[in-house]
Amino acid sequence: MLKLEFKDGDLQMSNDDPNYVDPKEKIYEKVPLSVKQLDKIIIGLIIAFVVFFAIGALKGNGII
Amino acid sequence: MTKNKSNFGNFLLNNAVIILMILSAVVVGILRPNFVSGYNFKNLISNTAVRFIIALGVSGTLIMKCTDLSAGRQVGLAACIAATLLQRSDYAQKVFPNLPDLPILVVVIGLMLAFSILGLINGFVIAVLKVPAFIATLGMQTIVYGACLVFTGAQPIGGLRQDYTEIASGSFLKIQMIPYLGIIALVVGVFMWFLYNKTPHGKYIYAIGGNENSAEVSGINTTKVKILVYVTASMLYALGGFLLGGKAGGTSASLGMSYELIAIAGCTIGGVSTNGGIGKVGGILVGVMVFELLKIAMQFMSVTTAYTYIVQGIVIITAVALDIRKYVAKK
Repeated sequence: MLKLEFKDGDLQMSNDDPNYVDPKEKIYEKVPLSVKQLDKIIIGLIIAFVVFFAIGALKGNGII
Repeated sequence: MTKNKSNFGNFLLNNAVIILMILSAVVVGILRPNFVSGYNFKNLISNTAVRFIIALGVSGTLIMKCTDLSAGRQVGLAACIAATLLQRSDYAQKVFPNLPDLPILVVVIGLMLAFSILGLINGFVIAVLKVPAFIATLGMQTIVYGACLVFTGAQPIGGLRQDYTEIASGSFLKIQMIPYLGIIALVVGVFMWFLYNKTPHGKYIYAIGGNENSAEVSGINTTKVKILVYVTASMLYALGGFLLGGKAGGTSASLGMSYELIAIAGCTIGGVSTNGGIGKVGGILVGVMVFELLKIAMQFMSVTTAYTYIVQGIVIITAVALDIRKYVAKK
């Protein structure tokens, strides 16, 4: 039987397994994107945030 | 120097959503000076408090790699029941005219105990009958909404007692910055932090979210833990609903509509993984608070409702994208 071991600040169940991988990392391993591609997506999202916020405010104030 | 630069860059990236929303609030504060006021701060604390309590309920299920789509409807039903039990005796349209004035504490505790049954059903269906959480709680959501419509007759409920609404609108020692709602949320937050970090039950929740099979093999009674998480969640929704009803000053069946999505969004922004096993109470508080801050900022800027939804959606997707980037960068 495995035993549960929680180290300080570590809430994951590693069971001292040297090959243990964080379950979230395991899922993200399948993400077919590089860091640079993700950076571009994030920058795009931030720009979209600013643009939609501004358009919404301009529309709400009857400017456009 | 380079290391410091890279640490600073990582800090910016890891907290980009929070920084972005705080920057938005600063810009709104400059453009609309009355945004930075004691009243608005109290409003932020009060709004955050109720949603934080609901988000804490949902967080347990998310950490366990489940979900709870019935949260908002349970909040709505709790608000309606609390309102009918705490109406003024001289109110002409009182739902239960012969009901005497009940002590508030009795109503809150009774409500939380009654709602634990809904959590028990949710937990039983998910943990014992092995129905996927998404479907089980979707069913519960619809049933609770129907029950709420039957209970209220689809009519709004008003005439709430002043001592009830005072809990939601009042402040500790009349200090505007310390509303009662904030204090209640703080107490619930500390309790949940203790539960997650200092008790075996909390560790089991994370263990199940990390790897349910391993947790089961390790001797954890996963069925019991899952049921307890849903019972706790429903009790928190009941408390959240009670407070929301008092805050709104009146209730209807539609109160709390889509609150489960707001709670899940707050949790996601605050670092709770929908893939289970990860999430902190402090992160949830920050996530819910910055999301509320953004909403208030958009109200002050008169952003139209349609664009409000688009902006909120972008924030959630950005939070998830940043989370993925963090892990891809580690590879």
